Amino acid sequence: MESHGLYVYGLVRAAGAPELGEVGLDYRGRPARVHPVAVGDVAAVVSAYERDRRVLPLRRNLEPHHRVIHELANSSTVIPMTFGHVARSQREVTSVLRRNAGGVQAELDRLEGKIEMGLKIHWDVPNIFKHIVEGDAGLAELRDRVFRERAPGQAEKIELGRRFEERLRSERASLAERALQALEAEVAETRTNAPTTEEGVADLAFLVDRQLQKRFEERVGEIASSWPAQYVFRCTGPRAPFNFVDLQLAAGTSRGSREWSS
Amino acid sequence: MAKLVPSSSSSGLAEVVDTILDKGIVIDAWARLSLVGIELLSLEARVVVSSVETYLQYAEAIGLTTNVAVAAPA
Repeated sequence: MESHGLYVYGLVRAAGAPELGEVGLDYRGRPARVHPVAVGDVAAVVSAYERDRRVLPLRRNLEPHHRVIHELANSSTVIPMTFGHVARSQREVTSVLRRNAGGVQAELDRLEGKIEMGLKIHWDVPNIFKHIVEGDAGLAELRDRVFRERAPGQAEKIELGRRFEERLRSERASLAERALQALEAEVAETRTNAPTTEEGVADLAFLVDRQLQKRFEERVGEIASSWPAQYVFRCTGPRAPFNFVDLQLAAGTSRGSREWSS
Repeated sequence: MAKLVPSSSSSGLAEVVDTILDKGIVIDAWARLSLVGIELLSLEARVVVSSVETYLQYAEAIGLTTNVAVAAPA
C-alpha cells in the first residue's frame, strides 16, 4: 500500500481531467506530479504529499497551488479547494468522491462554462478621512467642534469615529450598489466582499459566462469612464469561481456518515 | 473619469493570496494549513470592524485634517 498522502487542489469532471506534469507542491524535495483521481464522472486533482506534514503558506507552496487551479480553470470547470488540504491516502480521496458524487456533479453543472471576474474600486484621494468628513457638512462640523479643544474628550472622539465609520459604510454601500446595478445584465451571480483598507470602496466578484468575458471587461471600462476621477477601478480575473462555490462535503468513514445509517 | 487599471498588472500571487487562503471549499479532515509562527502581510490587513479602538484611531486621523487652529495657551 502507498505510504504517502495526497495534496488536493480541486474537483473537476473526470472526462478530460488533465495530467499537468511535475508542477505540484514539493514532495520529497521536488515538485510532485499533478494528476486526477477519478471516481465515476468526477475527479480530484492531486499530487503526492507527505501524509503528516503541515502545509505552510509560503510562496513556494502558494504558487503551485495557485498555478494548478489557474490552469484547471483555464481549460475546464473546477471547484477549487482552499489552500492546504492533504488527504491521508488515495482511498480517502475516492471515498469522499464516491460519497459526494451527486453534490459535486451538481455544483460542476451549475458552474459549467462560467468564470469568476473581480472588480475592486478604491478612492484615489490624498486623504480619505478628509474626503469623507468634508463630504458631510454635519461630520465636518463635529470634527471642528471636537478638535477646537486642546485635548478633546474620549467620548467626543469615539462619537466622531463612529459617525465617520457610519458615513464611510453608507458611501460604500451606495457606490457598490451603483456598480453592481450597472453590471447586473452581464453576469450570472455577484458577491460583495468587505474592503480591507479605508480607501477601499468595493471588492466585488462576478460569475460570468466564459464567452462574455470580453464584454464584461468592456462594460467595466464604460462604467469607469462614467465615474469621477476620484475613483480607481481594477478588473481582475478570469479565475476559478472561488467566491461562488457552495458545497458541503462529507469526509471520512467514521463520521458524517448519515447517508449510510438508515 | 475614473482610472481603469488593467488586470494584467495585478495578477501576481500577492493579489490572490487572500482568495487562496479564504475561499474555495473546505474538508475539515484534510485541512492541514499551518499558520503557526507565520505572519502574512495580507492576513494582517486590517478588517474594518466596529470597535471603540477603531473609532479612536479614526478620530485621530480625522483630527489631522482639521482646519481649525488649536486655541492658543492662555
